[in-house]
Amino acid sequence: MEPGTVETTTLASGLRPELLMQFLDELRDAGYSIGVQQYIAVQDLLLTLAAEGTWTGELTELHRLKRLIGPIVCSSITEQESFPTQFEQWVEQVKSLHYQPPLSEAQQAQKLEAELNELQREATWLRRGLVTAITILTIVLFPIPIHKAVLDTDELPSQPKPLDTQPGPASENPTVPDTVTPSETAQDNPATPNTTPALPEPLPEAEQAPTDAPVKEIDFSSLEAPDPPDSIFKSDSGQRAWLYLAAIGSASLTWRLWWNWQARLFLNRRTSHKSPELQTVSMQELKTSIFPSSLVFQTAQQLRQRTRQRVDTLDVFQTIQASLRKGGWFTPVYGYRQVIPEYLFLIDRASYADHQAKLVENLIQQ
Amino acid sequence: MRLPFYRGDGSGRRPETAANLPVPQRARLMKPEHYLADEGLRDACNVALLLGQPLLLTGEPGTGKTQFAYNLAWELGLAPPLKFETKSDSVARDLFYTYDALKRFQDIQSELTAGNILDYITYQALGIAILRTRQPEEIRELVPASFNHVQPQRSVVLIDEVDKAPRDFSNDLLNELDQLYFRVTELGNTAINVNPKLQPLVIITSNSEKDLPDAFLRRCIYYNIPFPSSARLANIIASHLGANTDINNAFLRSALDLFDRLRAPENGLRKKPATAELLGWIMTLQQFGDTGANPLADPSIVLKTLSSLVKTAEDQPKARSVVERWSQAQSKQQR
Repeated sequence: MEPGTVETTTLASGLRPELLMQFLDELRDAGYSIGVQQYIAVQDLLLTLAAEGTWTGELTELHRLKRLIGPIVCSSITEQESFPTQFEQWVEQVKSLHYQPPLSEAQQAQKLEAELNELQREATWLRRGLVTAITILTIVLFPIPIHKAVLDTDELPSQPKPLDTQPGPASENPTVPDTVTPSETAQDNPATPNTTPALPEPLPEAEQAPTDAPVKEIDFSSLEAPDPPDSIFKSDSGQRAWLYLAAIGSASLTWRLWWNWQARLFLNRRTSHKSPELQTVSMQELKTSIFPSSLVFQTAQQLRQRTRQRVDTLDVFQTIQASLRKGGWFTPVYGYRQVIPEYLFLIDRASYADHQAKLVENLIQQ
Repeated sequence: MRLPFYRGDGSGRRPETAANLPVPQRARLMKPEHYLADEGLRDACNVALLLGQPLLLTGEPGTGKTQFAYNLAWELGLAPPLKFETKSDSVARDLFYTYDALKRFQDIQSELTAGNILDYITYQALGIAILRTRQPEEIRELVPASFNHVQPQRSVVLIDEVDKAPRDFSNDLLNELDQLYFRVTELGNTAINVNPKLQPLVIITSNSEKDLPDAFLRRCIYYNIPFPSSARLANIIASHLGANTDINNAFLRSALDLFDRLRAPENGLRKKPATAELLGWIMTLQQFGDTGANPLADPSIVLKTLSSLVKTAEDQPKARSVVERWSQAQSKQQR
């Protein structure tokens, strides 16, 4: 049934008679003594009330229906006491599953508008997700043009090249820092403030390594700026890292979109307004009696065999026969009748959990 | 004549004329117009009337099962119900008619009468009700001359305490209750059918001493009359006896309080008093008490009237102790 519509098979609006029949089926399964006559009586009642115009099938009238159906389907005190509870449970079930009150035009419009808004929201999120995925893929697949565009806009600071190292022992002195000229030590010019780090004192002549090669002076002002380092995208490890991250990002985005789609399918299924297609599956011997029914049936038949009981009323035919045989002299012959014997079963129960007593009780009930 | 009517003191005094005893007030209890049905009973009755099925009532003795039939007939403007009192040896045929074969045999032998068989057939409750739905000329050959029937009419039939009868009684009535017809074997097995437009209203009562057959139950609309609550009891008392309906009335409150205690499970009365006993007890108290005073204030009056509530020997001492405890509690409250 489409949401917001009313099936024409309902009595008026809301309750379908077959739902009520299903309720009677449930009562029957619950042990109520309900026969075909009760089904007919309930249908009869509903039709009569509908014909009189006192029953509209609205949900608010279900409680009135409870008072009217109860005397039809109940046949004992226990059933009468449990019936209201059963009915209330059924009403809750009907409300949640089957009952579709008719919607006004404004309500229908509101409902459709809400559905449209929902679809629009979903489309917006989907668009955003797609744009993000395309962006990431683009960055991953086409890094060089992007990196160059990024590099052109930025200026890298010039970095001094490392000193040219001369072959010889002098260059092997680890105590001399590369950026300090030996001619500008603090010892040679003690009056000037020490702006450069002072060189350590030269080692005594005995410890100095003999050097024959001349020391080349380096002019830092003529040094050229070193070449910028290679781009990270050009390096193998960087590329691998980016590819790895992009793959993870794409996979997670794809998984998320797929999960949302699956969830939407599931939720849509749950909120379907169509009646499910039910198939009846019968399982034999699911509910069997404790004792074999044939044996119990035979025993019950024997117990119910009628017994001959003498009564204090005359058997007319026999009396006439006897009187005629006696030459018209009134000879009363009392009659007999066949009666079903009645039994009283007393079960001695040792405790509430006495299984033997329970077994015997079941046998007697069966 | 005032209480006590009977002395039993062995004084040997005897009035010269017969004692002038008061008119029993029980007639007030039997008036159908004062019957108050509970909501469930009203619904069950309406369903039974709508569907044309018999109404089976169960409940504690004294809850008004039989009285309901009288009230129903009165409220619908019908004649008082045709009552069938079920006996332990009742057979299904007895509900429709009885045939006195012995009398007929005797009359024929003694040649007293011509022996019109209709004179020996006596129609009973449901049989009369079915016959009354037909035109008089239609049933002239089926009823005796003494059968009073002027015009077709609807009747209420009360089958009282159906569980007294053997199981065969209910089983033999299935078709007849379903289609409301019966056959008279002595008249050539003639079937007498009801006029559907004037279908009788059948009320069946049961004390649930025995289970009724399922097939019989399925043909009836069933309702168990629950024991009324205190508020409803007050209304019932007011309706029947005209007692003060205000629940704040001390007498009514005290009476209902003591009644509830006697019915309480912890006091262990085997035969708990029901509505009918309560009404009778209140009527008795009203006779005992002085005008304007609360008769329950005097425990001795309560003990004197206890026999109208408690009906078994084993319950008497229990009830006395309940009354004594209740009186002590009442005295403490008043202080």
